[in-house]
Amino acid sequence: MGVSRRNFLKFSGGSIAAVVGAGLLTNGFIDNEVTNAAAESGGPTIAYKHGVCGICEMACAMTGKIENGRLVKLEGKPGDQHAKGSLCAKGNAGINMLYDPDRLKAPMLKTTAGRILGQDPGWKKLTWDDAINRAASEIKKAIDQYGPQSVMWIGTHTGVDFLRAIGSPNDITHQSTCNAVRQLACQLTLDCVNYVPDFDNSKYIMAFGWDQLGKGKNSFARGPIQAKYQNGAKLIVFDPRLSTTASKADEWIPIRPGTDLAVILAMLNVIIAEQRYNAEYIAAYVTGFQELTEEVKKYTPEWAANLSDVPADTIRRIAREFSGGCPALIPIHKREAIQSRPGGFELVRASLALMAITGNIERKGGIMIPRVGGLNYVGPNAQAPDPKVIQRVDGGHMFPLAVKGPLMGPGLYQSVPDMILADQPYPIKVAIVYAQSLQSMPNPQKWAQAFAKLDYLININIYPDDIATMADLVLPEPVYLERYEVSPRQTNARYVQIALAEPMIEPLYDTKEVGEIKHLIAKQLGLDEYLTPVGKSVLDYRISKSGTNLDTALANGGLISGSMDFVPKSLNQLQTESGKIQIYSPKLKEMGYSPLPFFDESWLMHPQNPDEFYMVTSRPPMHRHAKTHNMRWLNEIMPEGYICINSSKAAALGIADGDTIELSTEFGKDQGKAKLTEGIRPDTICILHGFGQKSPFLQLVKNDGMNDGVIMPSWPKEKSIEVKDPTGACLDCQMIVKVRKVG
Amino acid sequence: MPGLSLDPSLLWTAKEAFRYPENISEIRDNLQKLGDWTIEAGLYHSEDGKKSYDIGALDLEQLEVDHTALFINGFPAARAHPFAGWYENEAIVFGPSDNKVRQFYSRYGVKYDSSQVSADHIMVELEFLAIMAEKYEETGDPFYYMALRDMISSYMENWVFRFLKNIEENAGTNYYRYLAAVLTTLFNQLKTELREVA
Repeated sequence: MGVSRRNFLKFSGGSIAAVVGAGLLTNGFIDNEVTNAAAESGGPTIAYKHGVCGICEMACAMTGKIENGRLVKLEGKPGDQHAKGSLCAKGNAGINMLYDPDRLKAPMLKTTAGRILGQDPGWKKLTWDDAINRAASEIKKAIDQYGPQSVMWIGTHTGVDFLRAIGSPNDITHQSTCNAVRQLACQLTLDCVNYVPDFDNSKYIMAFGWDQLGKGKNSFARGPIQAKYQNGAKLIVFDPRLSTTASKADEWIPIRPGTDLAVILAMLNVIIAEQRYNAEYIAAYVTGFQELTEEVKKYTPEWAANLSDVPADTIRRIAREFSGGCPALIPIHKREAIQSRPGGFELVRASLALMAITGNIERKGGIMIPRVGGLNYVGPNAQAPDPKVIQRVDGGHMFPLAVKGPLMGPGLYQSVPDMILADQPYPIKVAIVYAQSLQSMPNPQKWAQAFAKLDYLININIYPDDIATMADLVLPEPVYLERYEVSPRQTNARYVQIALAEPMIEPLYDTKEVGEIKHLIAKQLGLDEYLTPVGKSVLDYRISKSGTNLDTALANGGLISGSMDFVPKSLNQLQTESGKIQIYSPKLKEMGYSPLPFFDESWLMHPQNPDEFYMVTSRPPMHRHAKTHNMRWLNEIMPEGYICINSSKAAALGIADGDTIELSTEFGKDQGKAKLTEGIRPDTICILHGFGQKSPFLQLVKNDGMNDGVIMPSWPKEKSIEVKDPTGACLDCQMIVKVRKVG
Repeated sequence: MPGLSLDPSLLWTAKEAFRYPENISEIRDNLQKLGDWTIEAGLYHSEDGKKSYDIGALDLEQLEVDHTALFINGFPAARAHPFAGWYENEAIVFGPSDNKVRQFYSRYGVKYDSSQVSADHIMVELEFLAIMAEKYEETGDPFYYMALRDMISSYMENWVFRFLKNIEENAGTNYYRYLAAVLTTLFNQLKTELREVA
């Protein structure tokens, strides 16, 4: 009777006496191809597995050490161009996420009434069959009563095939708060979604609000330091705050927030007026130089100095240095304050124009178009037609540069909650939220109201976070360390390279990947033929373009690498309007926007009273937005966020280091701890983003600081039109903040 | 070595009592069996012990919600995390405590063979006790008796009473409150009995 009841334990082979003398035993459930010699001699069983980090989009390739079936260490792979042999603090701490006791362990049904932030949902565990049936039934009910457009999927394009299958246009992404500005400017100008700064060979690096050293993004963080100390590069940082990058720079220029674009335009003015541009390069590869020459005449260094507090002589000198002929670059990443104000799109375009006219695009030591390894395309068995309803709830259809067609483009994250609350342009009844956090949503209180208004909220998640707390149905995903992955290097890809991941361990809990979840729901709706296939065989097919398969590539080290030699890409066969680097865009003009980068002084907002400040945001190196705060090692290093404020200005307001201060705007207010520093402009405060998680479920996150989103605007789409922004960017730093001491 | 006063099947029953509730009659039978033992042994924990074992009607959905809140994802966290590491302040599953108890199992010729439940989970530790108790009953080999004694004194005693107290204090149903009370009695009995012999 006992034997049949055993689930977890069994007697080892051989006699008891023999086993007792043998010390530790191997685990039956680990398929271990690596090292059993130690185990045979009485030591632990050790295996090494290939992985790809899932904390940030750099997706560093890594190796996991598995000891007796438990993942005990992660190491960056030396051969990976992103990791270069090391992981950041967040990557190292991935083990905490895997073994977090608060992870979601099974599908959960809320049994309490209402949809209230921070409530006890009285969860009841469900089987997957039951959970999928409930999800499909609620989606079908909404489609039948209100039309397919009443269903929306929030999560970076992960639900496109599902939405197309049911006929909804509402693919909502967070990109307008993140990378949309950079992505759209790069697409328009260079036919790529990002560019790679070639720090290794650069001699001049000019950063505007870029602080990847401070944010600890490994692959980018080491670049400027190596360039400076190994290559003798000069590093110039424009930032209202003495960021970590600024602290390592040759020059820190505390620019007035919101005026970086003015300075770049003035540099263009200087370089063109003084004929310091690369005429041969421009003639061969650049479209729109003449128009640019006319446009920037008005942007003199004196004009920019008046706006930015950067002396005109400094602007001239740096423009001359940048255009002196050495390899030079301007790194731009995402979610930097410079991109979170009106003109962010123009700023990226102006930066590209500056690098273009000085011949620094596709040049060693300049910037490169990413070398992304190709994968075979895998599409659904049948192609569903475009949704009949074109209007999107986020208003994205009104921004044709950003949203080129149904179920495409970033859209306007910030405008969604108001539209749901007003039933505009039609009622939204069901939302599926995947891998999004309320902490990263501008004006989360309004989002919570919008979620409360829905008929049904489905959340696909790893942690029981704020949105999970509200959801009617929670569907748990495995952690990235439990999954296969094929990951072409993209963000910093200097050469073609594809990293592969295998499960470090078997999934700990009753979880399913989002692709499978979509399939199962679609199957219940009779629509699964329209869904992209998933599974290991699909990954095999995808990488077969490289002449291998998953198992072989994993056995060979988990990295597929192309030549590391730098071969410049052709710059007159780009998929831009002209085929060249597109500085002047007839398409933008046709859409009613400025065809050239421009500056509008009416964008600027200024503090009027002593207690008012500009706001910039940053992130600490040991946290990634809101997703790492319940990771034990990281929480121990930094359990709470803070607000940087100038010491002298703080003293005038009676604020001491560590005091609790309240920040308020017309959109909301929240409190956090003040950190006094001389390294910030007196008229500016800096909030660390990602803190302020309120979910009582996350046990390590208690009163961990202020949520910057609470005071941020959630502008309607009309605001983007008003400030002539063709991307619909969030503009979440476009406000003035009042500060007062409360404790 | 003396005989064990505890029927090994009770340990299997105790383990089964921590399964996710699916079948009311099985749940009631398991509970009855554990309750009967404590009553027969005169070990119920209060004057009103007998009365308190009468849990009344069992509602499956209430049990499901209670089980989820106590052991899986409760509010604000699982109210009675069912693994030893939590009580060692490890705050991770599959942590050092899991590794330590796996090694302990191996000393007694038992191999841990699950990837989804940690080796220091209450159900695994109860399964170990049940296997050892059965083996002892079958063979009378003191080796198994030592296994039981060491499991209680070196591992379970360190956490299981706090775990059961958490259940008693946080359970939303009489079933789990009652289960915690019965198991507290059971573990106290095991602890006393095994210590006396040692």
